[in-house]
Amino acid sequence: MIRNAISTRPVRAWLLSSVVALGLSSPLALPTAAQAAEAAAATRPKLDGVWRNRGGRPLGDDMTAKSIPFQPWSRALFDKSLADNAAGTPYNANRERCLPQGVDIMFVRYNTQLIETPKIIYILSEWGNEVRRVFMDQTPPKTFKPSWNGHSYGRWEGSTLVIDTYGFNARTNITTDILPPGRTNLTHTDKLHLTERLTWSADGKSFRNELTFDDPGAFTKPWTNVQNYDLQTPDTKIFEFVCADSPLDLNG
Amino acid sequence: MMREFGRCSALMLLSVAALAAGAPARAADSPPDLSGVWWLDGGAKPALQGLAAARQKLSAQGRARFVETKAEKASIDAKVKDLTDVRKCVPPGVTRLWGLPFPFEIVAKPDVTVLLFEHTHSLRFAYMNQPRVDPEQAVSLNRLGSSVGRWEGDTLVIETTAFSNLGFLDEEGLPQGEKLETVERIRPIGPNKLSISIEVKDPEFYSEPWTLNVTATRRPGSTIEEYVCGYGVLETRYTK
Repeated sequence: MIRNAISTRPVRAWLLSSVVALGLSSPLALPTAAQAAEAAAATRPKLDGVWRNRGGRPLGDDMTAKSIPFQPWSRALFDKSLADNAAGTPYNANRERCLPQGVDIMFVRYNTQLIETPKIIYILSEWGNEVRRVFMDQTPPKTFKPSWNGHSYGRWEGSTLVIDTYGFNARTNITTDILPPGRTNLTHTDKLHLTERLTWSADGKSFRNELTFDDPGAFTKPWTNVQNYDLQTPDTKIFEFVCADSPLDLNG
Repeated sequence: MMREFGRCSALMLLSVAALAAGAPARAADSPPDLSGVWWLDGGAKPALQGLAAARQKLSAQGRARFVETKAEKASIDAKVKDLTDVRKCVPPGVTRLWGLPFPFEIVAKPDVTVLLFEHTHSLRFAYMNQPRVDPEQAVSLNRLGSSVGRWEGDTLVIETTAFSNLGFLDEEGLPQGEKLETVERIRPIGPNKLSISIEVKDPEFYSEPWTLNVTATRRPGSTIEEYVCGYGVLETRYTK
């Protein structure tokens, strides 16, 4: 019997390491966290596209907002705006003054483009070409620098997109559209914590936004409003909107 | 014989390890990752230097127009010192947007690439793999034109047409007209570095095309801040 001059040890060593290396990159390997995340993402609705608020009165037939749990001071502001409308001198909304709309951006009946990226969901508004950034990979800090649009943090709960927004300043309205035409002053304070729960229809062509307003500075308890949005045709584009080029009534 | 075998096995090990370590590599035809917040190197300076040089390229008609637009711009600049003047919210010209000490984002998706500028929260949408917009057919002529985009390897190419004659290409009032066309080339030149060039062609006002070249650096941890410029308010990262 001729003894094999080549030792079997180095052969076994490289065979073993190649098998291990191949195994790490082979499809037979266990799913990684990234792959599991990808699988979960595949069950979620498709956000990308241009959507439009379906319109209608935000509070339906509740035109004097009896259902909203105002505190007396915020109720008084709202009632004054109704009176101003009736008198023909409507309240001047931020959106007509080229100022950020804050929450009101979700009520405006113009096109809105949603763009989903791994870390940020962008909500781009045609009116004012305003931008909301929803951070999907961060936990909110304890304190915020107050801002007009607040600071938004999102997460998925199954196929519901939940967005928590904190750190609003007190210079925007919840909405000014309770009783269109004219403008109403449905105000909030810098204590507002807004929670939005967005759910999509089975055909993916519409979504429902359940907005919950938790503001102990302006209301006696949290309250909820629902807005609906419809997907626009694929060739719909967000137009350039230069506020200063629009005819606006800027008399203070 | 043993030595040769040793070399062979080492090579085998290396190539298998390389395969394993290399996966998952960026697929050959997927674009580079331009996400994050970018700042122009040198702030406004490099673009403004290029724009100053562009004045040499004004045609006779351009020079005449520049006299008008210079006066117009100076008048607006004086008036917007009054905070109630909402023209401070007007987006700067497409070239001037590459010459500002304010950051920007590039959000690139298969159908559209969006450029989001912190300054005046200006937005530009480049619809991917679409034909250039014909100004005669355009729904509207925009201050920032209408853009289409495509990838050429690692380079994002954005072609913009259908500009309005409102607005100015620089801070002094360099004119822009309805014949303006621009081509931007944006490509990574390092892990957090972009090269951005914008070629400007406007046969009405400039006797030949001219190009600005700038670079930008991605700053992890940086965020785009609000730029509030409406009636009675100017709040930016530099005013707060």
